[in-house]
Amino acid sequence: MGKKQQNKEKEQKTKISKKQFFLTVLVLLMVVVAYLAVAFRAWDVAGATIKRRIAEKQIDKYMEQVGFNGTVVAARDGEIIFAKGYGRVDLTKGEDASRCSMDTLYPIFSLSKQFTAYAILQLEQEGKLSRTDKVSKYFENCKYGDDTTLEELLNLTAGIPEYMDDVEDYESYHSVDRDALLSKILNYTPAGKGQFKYSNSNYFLLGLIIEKVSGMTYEDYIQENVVIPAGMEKVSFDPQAADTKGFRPYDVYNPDNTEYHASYAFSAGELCTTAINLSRWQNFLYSDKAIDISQCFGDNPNETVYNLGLVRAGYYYGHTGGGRFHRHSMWYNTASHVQVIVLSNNAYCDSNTVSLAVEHYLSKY
Amino acid sequence: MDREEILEGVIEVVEKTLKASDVDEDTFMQDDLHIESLDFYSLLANLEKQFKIRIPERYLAEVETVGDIADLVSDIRSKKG
Repeated sequence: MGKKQQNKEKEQKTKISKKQFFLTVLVLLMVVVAYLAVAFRAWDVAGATIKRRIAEKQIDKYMEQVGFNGTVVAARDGEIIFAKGYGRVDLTKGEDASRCSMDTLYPIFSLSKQFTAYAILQLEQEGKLSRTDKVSKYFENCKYGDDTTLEELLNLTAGIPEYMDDVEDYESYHSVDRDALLSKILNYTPAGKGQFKYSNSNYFLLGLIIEKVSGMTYEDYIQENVVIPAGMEKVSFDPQAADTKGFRPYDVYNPDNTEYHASYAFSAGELCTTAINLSRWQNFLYSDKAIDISQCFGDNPNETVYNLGLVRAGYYYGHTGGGRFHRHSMWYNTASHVQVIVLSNNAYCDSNTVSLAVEHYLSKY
Repeated sequence: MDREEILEGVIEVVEKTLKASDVDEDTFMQDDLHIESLDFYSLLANLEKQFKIRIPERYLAEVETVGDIADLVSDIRSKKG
């Protein structure tokens, strides 16, 4: 073997060992990178878990301070990030009652208005009615029927007085004659037309319009066409048969602490459901491809607008609800995609403040 | 209990709940006392306790002055008989 040949072989061996060296370094680097990625992810998850636990403890402490009784659910991007029940379902029984939980069925009262409004939009999309229709199209003997549109009922600018002011307090937890109530509502003289005035009469009429147009009862229509498509599982229409009971010590006309009767609340507030199911409803409502509700609130995001059983205030969409001793709120922050649902059977609960506090603590993680 | 006594009781509850002073019949709940949501429910609870009545919250939400609260309480008490 000549010297030239030997040098060539040596050169080749050096090349191979260099190649092996670089390959080994590359593999090692990859292993280190993979390890670091796993480590950082674990660190990240552990960090988030710790932060979440801190937030949960802060919420628990806050709830104890304000004496919160009820259920809270919060979600971010549609995923539940906090869900907890506090206190008891029946405040008349004290410690003997079961605890509020995710399964607790609450009468949601005015949170029901969103469902009524959604049904109206749905029927409009199917060409069965129009928001520009006059009320007189559906009720012949309506004093203001030719001057009022369904849109005005939806955004509470028709100026129709509140029917609940015309029902004696002690009557509100008994069955109310719907025809007699309707006759009263149709004979009201509107005041302040064009200006926002909160009145349940508007949504009472919308419920009856749903019945006339669909040929179904309000309850059957909502169940089949709104509740089921939204993926909600536990919904009923009788506030007096819900799980929760509150307590109002000086309610002399209502010693049994009974909630409003369904016939009194009707399409302005008779639905009952759980906090988790309301979260499902919000996910559906704000992501529905078929009906874009944002188009109904105008172009100015700084303007507080009422429409479709919802208030839009800044980044928030939502509503509050309450009966004789229930206080609820549900809000969706369109900037952070966080939704908070607060359902309480304490008549003196400020659900909006509780909602903001929960959102504040959860924003830290 | 006449209107004057009810007004005295209302002023006492309002001052205690909202930590305010120099409250009288013409004091405005919003403009003068800047009542907030949280205070509203505390006020509701304390008024019900003081006068042993149930006050429908939508009526309390509509009052403008402390005198209006006295009228509301007086009205509910007279209905209660």
